[in-house]
Amino acid sequence: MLFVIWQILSMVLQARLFPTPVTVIQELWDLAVNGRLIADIQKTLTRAIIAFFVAMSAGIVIGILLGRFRVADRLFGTWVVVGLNIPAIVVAIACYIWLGLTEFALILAVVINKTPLVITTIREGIRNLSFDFDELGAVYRMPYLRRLRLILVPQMMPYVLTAARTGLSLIWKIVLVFELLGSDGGVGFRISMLFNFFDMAGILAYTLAFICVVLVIEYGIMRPLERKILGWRPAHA
Amino acid sequence: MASGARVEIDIASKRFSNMAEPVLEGLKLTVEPSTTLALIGPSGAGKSTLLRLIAGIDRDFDGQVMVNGKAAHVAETPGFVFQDPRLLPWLTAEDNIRAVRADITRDAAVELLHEVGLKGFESALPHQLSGGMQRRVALARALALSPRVLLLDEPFVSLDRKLARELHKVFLKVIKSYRPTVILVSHDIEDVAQLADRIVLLSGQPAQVKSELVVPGKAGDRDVAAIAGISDALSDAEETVD
Repeated sequence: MLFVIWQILSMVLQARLFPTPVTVIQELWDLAVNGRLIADIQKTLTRAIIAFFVAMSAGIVIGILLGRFRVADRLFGTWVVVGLNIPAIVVAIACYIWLGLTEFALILAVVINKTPLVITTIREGIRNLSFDFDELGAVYRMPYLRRLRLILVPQMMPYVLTAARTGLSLIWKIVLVFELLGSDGGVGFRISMLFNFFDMAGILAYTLAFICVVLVIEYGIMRPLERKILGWRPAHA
Repeated sequence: MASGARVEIDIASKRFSNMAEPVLEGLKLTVEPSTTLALIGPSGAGKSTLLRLIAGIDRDFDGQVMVNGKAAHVAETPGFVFQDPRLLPWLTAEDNIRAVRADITRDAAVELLHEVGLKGFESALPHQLSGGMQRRVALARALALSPRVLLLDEPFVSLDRKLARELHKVFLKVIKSYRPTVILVSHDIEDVAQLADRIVLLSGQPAQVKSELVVPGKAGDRDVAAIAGISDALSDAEETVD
């Protein structure tokens, strides 16, 4: 259906501005075989994955601390709000100026942008932990690690998965923008090159390839993971 | 099978920081081993609070609760059936039982489910079970530790009468078989009349023992007339004290 609409639009609009699906797929093939598409996707994917895991780890730890200790939340809660609202581009430019146009600066900028979102989701999860299940663990004198594994972690998993899902979608976008702003490769960088030549077929080919990667991650990793971890919920049964 | 423990309660005062009046004051009770004591009284009389003190999870009070001569928090872990079944929704019925006791075998957990009449539901998740079934799992879980003390906090609340009567039989069967000391909190005269050997009527806040009644006849065998008699006796006791 999407391809039909695309085809019709490309027939109505100028082919150079809106190439046909066939042209884009040909371009995609050509870029994959003769160009740098695979290397660029690998580069972007690596950056996104590193940033994702660092932001998730830091966000989970800080989120737990802020959710658990009121004093910590009072002290650092405002910083989280600032982190959530500060424009991503400002963080990226600051990191590039301070640390140079390096891989580290790019990943750090993504992590700084993403972490506050994880913190707020996890903090909310900690605040919503069931007192009743806490009491159950206390009555039956369950050892701490057992309570952690059987009571706390399962309650937190929906929040962790939400943070992961929203985080991934945010990270893709930010990584691409930051690559466009200053890097030596990756999907964002390549799209900026293609933009200089008004190469719409190339831009759409990169976009299509990128969408394919995102869908593979969604259906190959995220959804099976969600089914496995949250399969107990009535909606998933 | 180990028999029940002697429970001695001597609470000078129990208060919550956000309340001016104590919830419990001058409360003395002894529950003999392998007997069933029912606590009844108005809402907010501190009955559930008392169960938490006996379970040893609340130690912030003046006085002492001894279970077989040991302070409640260091005594053997009791079995506890809460008002809501409080099953972990991400675990199967069998795993809910195994959650509270690390060394219990799968076979033993399954056996417990069979004892409470849940054959074939071992792998069911809590949301796949009816309210009555969930309470059976909660009872099986409470029995997993072969407790010397079984604390029941309104285990039949919000069940229809027919289902509550079915559950009375299940509870009576396991109480007879495991012989724990049972302390039951309930608002329902029929629940206490069917299960208890002794009924203690608590006053409103601060809760004190208002009246005690040894229930005539055998638990589970009391007919409508006997239950009516117990109800009348409790009403009389209430009026006499008032």
